[in-house]
Amino acid sequence: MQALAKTCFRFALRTGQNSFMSINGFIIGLIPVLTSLLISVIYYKRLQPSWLRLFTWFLLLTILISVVGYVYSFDFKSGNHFIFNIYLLIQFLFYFAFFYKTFQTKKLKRFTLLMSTCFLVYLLISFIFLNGFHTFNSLGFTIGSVLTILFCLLYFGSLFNAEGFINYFKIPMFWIATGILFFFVGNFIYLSFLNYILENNLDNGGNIYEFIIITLNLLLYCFFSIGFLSNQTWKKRT
Amino acid sequence: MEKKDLIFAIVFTTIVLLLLVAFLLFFFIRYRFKNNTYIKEKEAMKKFFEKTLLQSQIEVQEATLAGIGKELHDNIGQLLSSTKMFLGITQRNLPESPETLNIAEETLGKAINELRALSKSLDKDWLEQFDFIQNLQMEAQRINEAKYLQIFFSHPEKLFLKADEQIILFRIVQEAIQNAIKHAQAKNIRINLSKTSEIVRVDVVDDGIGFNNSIHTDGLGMRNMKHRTKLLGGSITWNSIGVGTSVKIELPFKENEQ
Repeated sequence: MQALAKTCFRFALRTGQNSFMSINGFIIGLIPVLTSLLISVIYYKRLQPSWLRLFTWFLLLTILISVVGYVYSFDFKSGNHFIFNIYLLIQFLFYFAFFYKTFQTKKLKRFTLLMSTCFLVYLLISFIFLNGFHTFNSLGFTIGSVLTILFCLLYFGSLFNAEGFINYFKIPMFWIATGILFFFVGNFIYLSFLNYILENNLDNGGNIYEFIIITLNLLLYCFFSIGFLSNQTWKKRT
Repeated sequence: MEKKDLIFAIVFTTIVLLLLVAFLLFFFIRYRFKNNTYIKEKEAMKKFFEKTLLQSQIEVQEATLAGIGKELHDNIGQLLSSTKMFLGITQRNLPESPETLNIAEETLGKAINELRALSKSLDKDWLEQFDFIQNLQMEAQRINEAKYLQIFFSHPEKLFLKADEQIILFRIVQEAIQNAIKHAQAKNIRINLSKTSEIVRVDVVDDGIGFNNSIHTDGLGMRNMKHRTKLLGGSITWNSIGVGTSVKIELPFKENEQ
């Protein structure tokens, strides 16, 4: 969803903030995240330990920011990058905290904490001294994506090495990490070349990215929903 | 590379990367499935081994008990019978038999009857036609006659379990009764046997002094009961809050397989 909304800012960026994502595309992108939010609300009390319930609030925030970002651009005909810069910070720190809680070994926990701190410091420096707060921090997004992919792989690695009988399909975290991995891997290449694509107007109208991002959003929130519906408690197998 | 080719390359690489992730996850899941199957087989073998081991232990125990029963009947029983006979002769030779001698003769008679009942309950051949309900009724009657405590036994008409399973269940309940008599100082014991289409359940509830669940968990008697229940593939739980103790035994039961 955050990337769907970023499409808005991208069009604004390219066309001097006069062109916006279609309302239909926006609504289509909103359906999976709303469904996922609804399921997480229904199963809210079953999510254990309690910090995992923050996921519901995170999804709610995602929807709010996407709507606010869209409306802001549409109504004020001005850049909404600062909204997505805030979201970028919240989103990655949420995912990192999520992986921190999930990892079982101290080594991985320390590594996650170190990387998260470095990322936060970089983002703050970038907002204050380099990039500014009103231009979307593309490099920050790329670094955040790389770190998230790395944490996903580390999580799958720890699952791979885990001993005993494990049914992945009953572990909510497995589905969530799968969704996150697909989403960020799918986004990574396009966003790495984003500036070049925008400068040379390669994706005219943003149709290709719109298609990519709607597909990835659908995948992401489908996996999240399956995760909420899987019947084993989070505590046992995270 | 032309500019329009670049966007194609980006899309193509994205698709390739996504497929790569999908393949990786597929092999990852497949590996775990194989691993899970291996673990399941290993656990099944371990369970089978444990069951065989427990079965052997029970068989050895039953054989030992049968031996003891035979010895009690053939040796001690004979000695007691001879003693009773000599007492009878003595009584007849005396002009007036003293009261203490009469009581001794009566007590000895009771002891012989108890011994016969005990040796019968330890006899393996007899146990092969074993009926849990009938034997527990006899056991309850035997204990009730002593008037030390009362056993109330409620049960369905018939228990469709194999004879060897009924013996094991009987030994578990016997141990529970012994515990209630020896340790709990109970005055009443209620035994309830019930069954559904999937479970056979026995509840042994006494009104004794109870025990501390967290301390008394590993006595020999309780270990034996756990072992025997495990052998039957069931579960056993003790519950003692304040006054009294309840023992719940649940065994899996498939009506069609019996």
